[in-house]
Amino acid sequence: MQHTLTRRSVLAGLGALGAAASFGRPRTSRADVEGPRFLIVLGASGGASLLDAMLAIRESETSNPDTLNCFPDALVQDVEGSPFRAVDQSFDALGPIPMPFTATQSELVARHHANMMVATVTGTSVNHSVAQRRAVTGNEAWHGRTLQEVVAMQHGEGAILPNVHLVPGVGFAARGTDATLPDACFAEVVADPALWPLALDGVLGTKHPVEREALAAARALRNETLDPLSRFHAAFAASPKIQRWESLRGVSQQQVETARLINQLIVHADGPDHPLAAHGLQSSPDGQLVRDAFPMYATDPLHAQAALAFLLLKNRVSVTVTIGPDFSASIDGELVPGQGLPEGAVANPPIAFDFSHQSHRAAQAFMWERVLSVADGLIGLLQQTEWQNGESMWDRSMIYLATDFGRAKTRPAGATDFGSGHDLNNGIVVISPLVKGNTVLGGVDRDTGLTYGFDPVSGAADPGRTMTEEEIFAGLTQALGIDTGGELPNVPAMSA
Amino acid sequence: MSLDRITFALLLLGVAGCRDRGGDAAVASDASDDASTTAADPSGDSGTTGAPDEPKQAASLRASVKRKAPDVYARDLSRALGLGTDELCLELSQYDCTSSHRIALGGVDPYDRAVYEPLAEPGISSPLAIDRIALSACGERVTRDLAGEGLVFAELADGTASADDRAAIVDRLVLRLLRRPAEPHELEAIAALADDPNIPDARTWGQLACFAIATTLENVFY
Repeated sequence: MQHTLTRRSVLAGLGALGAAASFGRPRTSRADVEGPRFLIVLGASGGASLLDAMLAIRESETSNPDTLNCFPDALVQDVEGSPFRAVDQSFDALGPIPMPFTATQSELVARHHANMMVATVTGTSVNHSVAQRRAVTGNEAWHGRTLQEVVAMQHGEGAILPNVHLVPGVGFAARGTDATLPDACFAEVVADPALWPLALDGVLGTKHPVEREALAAARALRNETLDPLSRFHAAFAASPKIQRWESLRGVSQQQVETARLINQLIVHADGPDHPLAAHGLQSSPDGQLVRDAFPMYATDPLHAQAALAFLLLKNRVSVTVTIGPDFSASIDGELVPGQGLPEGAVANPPIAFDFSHQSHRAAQAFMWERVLSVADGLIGLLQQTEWQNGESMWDRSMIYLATDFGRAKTRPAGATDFGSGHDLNNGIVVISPLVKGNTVLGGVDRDTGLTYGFDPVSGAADPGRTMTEEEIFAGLTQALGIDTGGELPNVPAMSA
Repeated sequence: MSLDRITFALLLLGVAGCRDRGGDAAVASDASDDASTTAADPSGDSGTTGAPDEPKQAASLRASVKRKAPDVYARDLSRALGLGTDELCLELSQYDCTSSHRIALGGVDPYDRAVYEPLAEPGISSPLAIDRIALSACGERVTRDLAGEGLVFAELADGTASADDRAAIVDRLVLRLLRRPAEPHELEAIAALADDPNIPDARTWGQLACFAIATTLENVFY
């Protein structure tokens, strides 16, 4: 019998090949992934300058080697097979902080360059809070919604707490202004990753616990009789605050308690500082995994955030998390007169990347190492976590290294230690299989240090333009599979 | 008669006129509130307590309420239950609950976390944190009273709670926590919680009666 190749049979065959390929071999690059996508906003607070990282300029390449923020040639590493650069440096001190450290960006960039994208952008505010907010709203590009809120809206179905902010007090964790979004899209704010999980249950771990059914009876008394029949309620029931509170005590609270999230999200191990077993609690089944990935979880707020962030994603509690260093200094070490602080004593300098005002080179080097290391840890965990059918969670995740703005492009003539101010002109870094990896969209003028833009459709570099916050926001939403109904610019250049 | 004496006499008459229940002093503004409520309610039908034999409460035109700041809630609970604010609730027996969940409770933390303003909206952990604090504090008061202090739950000393005992305790709890006498329907409903099959004993009833009142909207907001 002669077989005739039909279009249907060819397509069926190709489909079978595709299905076979997905089993046991994770996909590493595609933008058309079905199902939810996960967003990690890693806020590089203070202004992470791309000239001190992936777009670094060598002294030999510029006509202004003495006054431009550029580096001795030997310090700028090319990352093989990629358009990225990396600056590896060692310092005797972190500016005025007497602590030596070494920053090796090249190792981290080399490891993830295949999924790394740099896109240039010029912002619109040199105010930290405003600029940070604009980095996640595209300068209010889409009804004032934040990127995290739209991800929660699009991909958060089934997630109990789809949007969680683990770093309050920064503009990256701002609440959007679109009140028409479902309440669940707005972020749950976590101030203390170590103890917040305890507030996900009304009775577990308390000093005088009661049986859950007894507590339910008391809550029912309160919710169904005491409150609704009170004069206070009669007077103020129309208050949005009251209604919100009543809503929070309803179905969502039941879901949180029923899911026993408290037992899934405790990072710390049982011990003197966290006597979990003595209080009927337990560390997360993945507690050891995240403690190993982020060993400073007990003292470094960013490690604590990252550890909990992974647990939230892995346990399908959230689809978007926001983490990042804030402006608080984190120091854990003894200052020895004449010797300074031991290496590693400072987890976070005051004002994070903005410490560049004091000492630009050291602050940028230290903080780039810090945020890239945390990103590296999260990527490793997500890569080893299966989503389904052999596909990893990383295959559908994005780390958006958001930042306020860039830093000044110039320096005092010949200076190697100098302060820098804010500069609107900069770029963003995204690490994700969902974006065009191993790519720099746009470029940098090596005589001025100013970045320039790209064609939003083709991705071709365009020295005659810069990109707006709205365009970057639009590109990210496209890569994340957000249906914007055509209300945002079309920027397919950023998608894989 | 001097102006001072006239004023004093008028004050006495006003206070006497406000008392509508024997024993504990009623809220002084009850009479004026009833008058203004009636006056502001032309339809006579907007707002109600739901209890048929009790005066109606009109809905507030603006319904402007605020959530108690965490330290205010803790202080009120502390005073109501005769406990130090550091005795109300400790996470893992070490970390003060009010401090641990400060941001969720509507507070600020400008020094360590750069949170200069309260969150615009409470999160899912906000009412749960209140529940934890109240459950712990009420449990502590019951425990101490059963050990002999007898401040709120003296009637439970023998492990039982008669109808009169429950009424007295509820009245005392509402007065302490909400700073007003209990309404008849509240007395009845809270006492009846003891008959719920999920309430195993008088001690648990006492703790949860306290909890239910301490976590009402009236005690969380103002």
